[in-house]
Amino acid sequence: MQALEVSEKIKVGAVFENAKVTPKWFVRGTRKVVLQSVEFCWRSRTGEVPWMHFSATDGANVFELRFNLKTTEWFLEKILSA
Amino acid sequence: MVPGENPERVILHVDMNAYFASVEQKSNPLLRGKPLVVVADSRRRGVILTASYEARAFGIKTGMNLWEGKKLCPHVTVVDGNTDKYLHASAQILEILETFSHQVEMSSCDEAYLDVTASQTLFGTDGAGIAQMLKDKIRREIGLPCSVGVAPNKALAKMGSDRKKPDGLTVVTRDTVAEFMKDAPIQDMCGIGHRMRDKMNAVGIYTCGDLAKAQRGWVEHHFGFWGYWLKRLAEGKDDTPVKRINDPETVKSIGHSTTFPSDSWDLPILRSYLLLLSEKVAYRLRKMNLQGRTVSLYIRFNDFSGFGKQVAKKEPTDDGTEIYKVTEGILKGALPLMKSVRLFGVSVSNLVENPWQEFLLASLAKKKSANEAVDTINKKYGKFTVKPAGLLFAEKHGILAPPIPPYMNPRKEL
Repeated sequence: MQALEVSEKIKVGAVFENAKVTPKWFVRGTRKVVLQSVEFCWRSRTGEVPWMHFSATDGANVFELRFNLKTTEWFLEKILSA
Repeated sequence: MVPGENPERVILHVDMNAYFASVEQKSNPLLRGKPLVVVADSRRRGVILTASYEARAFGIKTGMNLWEGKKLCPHVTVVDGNTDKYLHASAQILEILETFSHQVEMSSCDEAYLDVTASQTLFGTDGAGIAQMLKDKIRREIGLPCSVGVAPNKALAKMGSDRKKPDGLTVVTRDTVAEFMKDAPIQDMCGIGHRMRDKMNAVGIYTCGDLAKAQRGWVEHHFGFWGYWLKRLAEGKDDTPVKRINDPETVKSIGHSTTFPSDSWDLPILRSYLLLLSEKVAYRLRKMNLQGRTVSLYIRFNDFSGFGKQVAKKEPTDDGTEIYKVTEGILKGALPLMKSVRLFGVSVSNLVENPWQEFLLASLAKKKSANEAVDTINKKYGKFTVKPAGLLFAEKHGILAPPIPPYMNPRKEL
């Protein structure tokens, strides 16, 4: 398995429903990646900044996304591939 | 029956199987079905925190050095642990457990006891039925496997959950206790480490059944009162209650320990670790509104031998500098060091609730205000944004990573 640390700001399309956030797709550069499923999500804090982390897959690769609950910014953290 | 023990009690012990590895496999489908180990930091000293069942099949065990694990399974995947991820999953697990009983005791992030005695009527099923419902719910909602032991007390429930892994369900009743314990190796019991096991083996006790059959006087002669307590466990007797997570008496001590990236003799570096650990313990004490009178230091040397000492203070404290002074005194008493140090553990016990008394001495009042101000800043901007100057040395040697502003790397708290 290969892991690529990215940590860059991205645009994300997400569904906000029943107090839950589910990322559906994101755009990195000119490429749009459609996410098939969110496998796991967890929370963290840096000082007063709360974050949601998502581990999601497009069927081939796994992407770690990070969502700032204060500023609503999204970041692509990591790309994991076989 | 033991006096005071409720014969009707039904206790569940839930053990999340290979927890950290299971969470990693759940969050990354590419890791499923593959041998994997979770380490604290693969760039530093790699001690295996847990191994997936696929890795265990190669003989890899928790606590092994990473190089030993790689020797057994060269293609094992190494993952750096992510505390946020595991604690978040633990909180979700706790939420599920609390839907089955209000008496839930999380004994660690991946183990919990539940007293479901009263829940049986509510759910219209017995302990085994509730255990199966609970397993299904955790699997369905979080996607993680667990083993559950169902028994009349905590000790037996714990042994039950250990009996079948992964994804097991073991039921022990009063009628089956003797059979359950008869051939169980003595080290399967809570409170028996390898040293006690060796001592027991030396006098011919190999199984819980052997200990249960032994005469009380004989056991006490060899092992003192502790031996009597273990004999009761071997007989399947244990009346310790399940303590709810919010019960104040649940917290008996607050501690932190750290294994160094490399063994060290260097006193300035060792003192930096002490200061760091003391500050962490003090922060948690203040956060929980507690103070402690007894300060302990445990030193583990490079050959895994250990030295520990505790000192009782006249007044309880929640101040990092105070705790550091005591631990430094203990360290001084251990000098000169004959071996390099591998691990320090600092803890404070004999806890009392912080009475918020009016401080008569101005210096104490100042210290309290300073600690409050530092805690407020660090809560807002991240741990150790403001810290004692002594920790700058720790930072220089990579013991404490410098605070990273949230906009640069907000992924982790320090």
